Amino acid sequence: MEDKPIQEHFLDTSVARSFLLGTQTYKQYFESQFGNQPLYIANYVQMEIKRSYLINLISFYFVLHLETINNIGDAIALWSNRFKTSELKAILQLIPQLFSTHQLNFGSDQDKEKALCILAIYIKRFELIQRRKFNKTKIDSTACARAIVTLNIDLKNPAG
Amino acid sequence: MNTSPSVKEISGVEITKAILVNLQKLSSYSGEPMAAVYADNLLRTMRLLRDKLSLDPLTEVVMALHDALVCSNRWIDYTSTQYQGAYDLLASLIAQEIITNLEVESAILTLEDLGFDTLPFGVKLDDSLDRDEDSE
Repeated sequence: MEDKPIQEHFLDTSVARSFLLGTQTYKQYFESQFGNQPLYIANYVQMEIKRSYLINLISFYFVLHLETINNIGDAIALWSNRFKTSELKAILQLIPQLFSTHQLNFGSDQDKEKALCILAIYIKRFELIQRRKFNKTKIDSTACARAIVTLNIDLKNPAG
Repeated sequence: MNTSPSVKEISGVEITKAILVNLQKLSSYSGEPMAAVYADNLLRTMRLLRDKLSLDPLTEVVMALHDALVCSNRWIDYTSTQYQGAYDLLASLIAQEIITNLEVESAILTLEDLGFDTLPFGVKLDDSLDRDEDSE
């Protein structure tokens, strides 16, 4: 019996992003397809994930951090007024799930600090996993200058 | 009166010990009705750690496990072996005096390798988001 060759997969943005952010069923489907086979993404794909999701989370963190924002509900209200549909959509899907999981009260002033902590931890974790879950091809055929711009998060100086 | 650092440290140790005890119990009772009691205790204790030691590196690892367990009650699906793996991981981190950022990252990736989905929140984004304009 011949050994089955190891298959490698190059993921485009829609698959890589769904691999990280899909529903449980969706993720299980990908795992059934890919198993432990090596997965690759290009810098360009990584950049797209950051620009379409991670940056919105960081922006929302700063909105929630504003002194004039008293609670999570205020931050969502302001965000809803300031941003266009796509940015709104990303946040409105994540925030209720994340903060409800942590049993936070959206109208409570006291829970604002907890929310900031939880969101910061989630942002760091998402950045880590999107950076380390996939292998890099090191080939960017698009030669897009944006793809090599690094995104640094300094939690000690978030306004910096 | 000397204050918070030492007090917080002791409190943190007690909380983390409680987390380990509950993880061990969860590993033993995984799949049985009693597991619900220990899962509830574990999740409450994890949130207590979050509130008391929000900036501690260990909290980042514990929160990764918390989110993996609590979202859609997925703690039910994880196995005894996975809980034991999480126990061993946290026990080794707690035994260290200092936990570096690299060790935090490594621990979160280990949780992922153990099969814990630390990003369990489903978010559906439009493909058009990939190409949003710079000028608005």
